[in-house]
Amino acid sequence: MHLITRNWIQVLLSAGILLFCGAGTASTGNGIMPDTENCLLCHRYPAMGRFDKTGRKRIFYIADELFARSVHGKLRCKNCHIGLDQIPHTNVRKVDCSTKCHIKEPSTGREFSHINMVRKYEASVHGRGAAGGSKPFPEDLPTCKYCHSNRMYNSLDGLWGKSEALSNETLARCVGCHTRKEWARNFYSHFTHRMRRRRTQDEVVKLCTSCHEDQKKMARHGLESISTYKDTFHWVQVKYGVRNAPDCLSCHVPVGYSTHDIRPRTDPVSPIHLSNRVRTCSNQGGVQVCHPGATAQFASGRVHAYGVKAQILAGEKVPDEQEPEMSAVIKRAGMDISEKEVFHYRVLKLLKLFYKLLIGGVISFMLLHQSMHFLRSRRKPHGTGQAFSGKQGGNDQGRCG
Amino acid sequence: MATQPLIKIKDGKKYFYRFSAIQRAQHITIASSVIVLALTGMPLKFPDAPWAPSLYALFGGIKMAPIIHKTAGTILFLLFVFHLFYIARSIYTDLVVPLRRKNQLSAVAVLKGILTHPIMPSFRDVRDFAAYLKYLLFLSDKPPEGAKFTWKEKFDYWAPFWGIVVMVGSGFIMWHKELVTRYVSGEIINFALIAHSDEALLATLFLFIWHFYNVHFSTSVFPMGTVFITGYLPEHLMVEEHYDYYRQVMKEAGLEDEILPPPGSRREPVAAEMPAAAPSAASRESLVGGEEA
Repeated sequence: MHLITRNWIQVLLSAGILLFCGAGTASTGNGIMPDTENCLLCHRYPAMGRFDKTGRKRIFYIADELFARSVHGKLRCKNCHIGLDQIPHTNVRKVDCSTKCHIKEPSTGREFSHINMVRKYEASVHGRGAAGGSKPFPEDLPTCKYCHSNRMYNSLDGLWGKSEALSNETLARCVGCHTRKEWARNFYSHFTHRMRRRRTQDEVVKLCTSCHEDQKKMARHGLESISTYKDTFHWVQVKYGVRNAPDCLSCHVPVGYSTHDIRPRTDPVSPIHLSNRVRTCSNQGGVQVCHPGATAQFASGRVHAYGVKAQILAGEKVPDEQEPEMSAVIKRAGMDISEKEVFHYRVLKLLKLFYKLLIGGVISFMLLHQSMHFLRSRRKPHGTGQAFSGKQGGNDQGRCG
Repeated sequence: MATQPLIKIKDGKKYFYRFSAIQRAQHITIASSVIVLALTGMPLKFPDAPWAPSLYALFGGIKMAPIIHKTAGTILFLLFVFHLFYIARSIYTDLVVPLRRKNQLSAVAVLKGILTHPIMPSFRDVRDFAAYLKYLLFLSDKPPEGAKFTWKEKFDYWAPFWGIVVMVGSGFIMWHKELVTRYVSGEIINFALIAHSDEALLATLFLFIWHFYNVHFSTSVFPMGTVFITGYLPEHLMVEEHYDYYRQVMKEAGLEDEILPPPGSRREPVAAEMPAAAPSAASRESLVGGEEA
């Protein structure tokens, strides 16, 4: 009886044992992994959830059929969620993607793990650094899940398009020999998932800019907002949905590079390091060969227009010393932008100003003139002007020649 | 030019020769190519505007529109080259040859001839502009008595002249960026982008606000002036815009007694009763074309 007073979940547990003892094995009929851990006993209920200490709503409901179709559908819950031995779960550890999960990686026969990716990532510009790291504001760094917001429940997208019908047709061929349909389906999904980009170009830009357009967040790390990308033709092409249009990854992770291993541009390994840029711009061997005739001079130009750093160096923006975030930007500005580039920035700025004044001046003059002219031609002094616009003007258009 | 009569009379009204067939053809070419260029270019300058995607789709979207844009740009470029040849030829036939005939051919004389050509800006434009401002501000009832080409028309000519140089140049740099950056530093592309896009905006606004008003919406020509098709300007517009030139042409044609009063002058009883065009003088046959069938 003391169980009831301790926790209501345990009531559910005991009730569950009584009422739904067949739940785990029932799903095998659909080809879904048997729930041998019996987690669904509780987690099958859509109302399963609570508000955590920070007031965030957490949902612990698992739709088993959808889960089974996800990338991780073949794993057992406890492969990733370590420390679920107690009920209620008080000793749960955060999911660590580098954990070995007891399935075999077929090429080596070793236990599978994302550790290779995680190691690369840790050493990259987005990681905390190889040895645990000591980057400032580590909370700004993206976690695995920040970018891999995988739709847990993948639809059966095809290799050549998103048509489910097409995918089913292809899948039907697999099943001819690989008779376990669920296995074939998983294999097919796994394979095709890697044959195409999951995100459209537009979605990639959205993902990257979700942090990189945040000026404050960027400033803390000595970076500037990359909203300047949106001044480029590259972005316009993405915007208009051109196939293989250049998004962030096209230049920062071109063919042969890994998204997990993005380096700062000063790193000689980086594809946008000056010594690698010609190759990056031409993108030979990529899905899209972009600027095959690119020269070193071509590649030395700026794709992103100048941002805050150039403004600081040109003395146009005097950063507020009170803003602690900006100090990192000031420190980095001189390193990132050369004297020559500051000069170019000034020329660009002058050119823009010239056109601003020209457009403003000419257009306002014209508008003013036209309205004055319109007023004037409506109010000609009495008794004049008639001979020109009244008597003859009406019906002599387009008659001659 | 010699074959075209300076004044034509049709249905009893006078029309004045302004533009030759070749000039009109050039105008049609620049007009159509610039309209296409603006329509296929603006959706790139303003990709976030609500009208941009549908306007772009009208030209076949990002697959076709850039091809159309580049084609129209090439046509504009070829037109510009043609125009330069046309100018050179005009200088030769209208300036060099007559000077040579008079045995006065010299670099100074040719340069003087070019600088005093009616299309070149002159001090007279400043004076006319000042007089025109006075007229617009109701300080005077008399608009300036315009020459063959008024300051407005010079604006209309020289603004696109400069504009085409910038647009074609910067467009070429962006089109053949790999080629250009073999010889020039890569920053040129950044400069070209700004020049191309801002100059385009200026040109488009100029066309719609300035030129379209002058030739379409102004009360004197609404809904459309026809001189760009026919080459001939009706008399009332000739009086309104080019009175000085009008008087000169009428005198040359021997029609001094039919000259209408200058624009903005009080109408005298005689002028009011004067028929628009009385086919009286026989002497005009030399310069004035008769009615055409």
